[in-house]
Amino acid sequence: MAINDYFHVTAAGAGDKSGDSWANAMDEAAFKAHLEGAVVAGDVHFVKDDTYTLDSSIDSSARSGTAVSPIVIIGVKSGTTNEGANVAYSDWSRDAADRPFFDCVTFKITTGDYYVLRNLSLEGSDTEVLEVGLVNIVENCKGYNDSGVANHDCLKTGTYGNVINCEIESESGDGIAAGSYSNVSFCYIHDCDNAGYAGIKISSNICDLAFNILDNCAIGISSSSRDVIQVLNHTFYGCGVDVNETNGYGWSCINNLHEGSTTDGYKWTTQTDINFFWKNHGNDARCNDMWDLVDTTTVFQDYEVSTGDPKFTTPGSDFSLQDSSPNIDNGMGISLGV
Amino acid sequence: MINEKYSYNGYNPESQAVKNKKVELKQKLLSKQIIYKEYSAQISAMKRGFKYMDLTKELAKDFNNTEIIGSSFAQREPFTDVFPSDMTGVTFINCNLNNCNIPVGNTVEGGTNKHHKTQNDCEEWVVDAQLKPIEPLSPERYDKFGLSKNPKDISATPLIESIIGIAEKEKVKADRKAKILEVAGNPTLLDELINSGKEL
Repeated sequence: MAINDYFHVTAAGAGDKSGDSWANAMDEAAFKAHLEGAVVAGDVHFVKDDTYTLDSSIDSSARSGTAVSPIVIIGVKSGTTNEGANVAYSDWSRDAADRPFFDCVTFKITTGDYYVLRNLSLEGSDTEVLEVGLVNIVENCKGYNDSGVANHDCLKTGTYGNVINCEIESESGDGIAAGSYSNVSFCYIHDCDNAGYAGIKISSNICDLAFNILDNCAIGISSSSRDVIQVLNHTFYGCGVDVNETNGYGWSCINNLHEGSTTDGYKWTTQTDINFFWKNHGNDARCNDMWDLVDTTTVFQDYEVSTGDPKFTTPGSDFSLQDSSPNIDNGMGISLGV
Repeated sequence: MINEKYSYNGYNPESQAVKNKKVELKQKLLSKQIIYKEYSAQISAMKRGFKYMDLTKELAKDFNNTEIIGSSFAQREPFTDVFPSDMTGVTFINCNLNNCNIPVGNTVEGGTNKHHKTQNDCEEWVVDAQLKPIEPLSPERYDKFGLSKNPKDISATPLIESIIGIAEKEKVKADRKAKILEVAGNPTLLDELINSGKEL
């Protein structure tokens, strides 16, 4: 990666607020002005743990990085003294307690293309809290949309979005609205419980979703006529409908654990048999209607489905499995004799 | 004099109290007294500060003749009383004071102090004292899609989805249609598309 320059950001700012060092750290206003009017490919920003209150939206959609020189924003701990290239991984805000907090209030943050956002916490009530352009990586971030207005989502990705290891919550809209070719993995998506809205809303074809926990969402994963979607190794707990699709095809749903769905495990509006279900866990006894318009009688069914209490360590809070869980060593792996 | 208690949302990550609170919450998480989302929510609450809070019962002397910098006191409903009514001499610098009533005798420098409310188009509009919409809170979003910013054009009935979201989806459809038409009439572009393996 070709780095252009390093910038430093604190809530209060310091010195000339140019961002060239902690002594000259940008404040929120200077950071906003920089992102909207000056940032260029390869710029790396270290944002110290603090509270950043927006009084208008930050819109850097007109300014983009490149594939080899993305624009990077990384949250770092409040006590960080290292600067520029000397900022170490140990300075990063890996723990939730250390992430800088962007109180977006009624506003939002919009990025251009080729951004990398890490270790940030964002909260707001606009139509989205964070909207990223094409080819972005959002990692170890928390997003929360506290709006009471329907359809106000937490995070919206453009095409080729990557959302990894994030915590997502939305009071009244979708948690993540994922664009085409997006990847959502290792995320904890919870309490997106407004009727009709989802933890992950797939808004276009070809997405990879893996190892996410969807906890107490009205719909876990929702889409309408979207094709070629991979849903792998998820935990669905206490959702209304875990996976909701109309007539999409080319889906692979493998190694997913469904528990406590109040309406459906998998729901297709029109049975569409060119989809693949294998080694999923759940049945009607624990998920109301595990297979709703999904074949359970012919060659298209999930012949390896398992059932029963998955034996979470603490259902609803600790989703690790007890030693006696029927799901341990029961997923799909390589079975070609190699 | 900067008001230490109310500036920057009252969150000072360098203070011993904040450090102690973080340690306490972490210990509660590790000992399973709280679950992760509670831990995360309490951390956020600690940093969120004064948003949606009612401070009218606080003592005016805690505020009087101070500068409050970079804090959010934003409220959900327009024209909400937030501060003690006898508070005076406070200068709010770059604060979010939306939907906050500011008592007479105090000053707002920078930041924002608009009163707004969700309208039938599922967007926030700045409202007057009679709660009538005047202009969008984020007019640039209306400009982006060529939507009217005249309050007379707000839907008479509540929309299910934000007018911005609807316009965005329509734009995606229109762009896709334009691209299809462009590619369909251009064999070179068609070959490029086929060879790229990408969909429109």
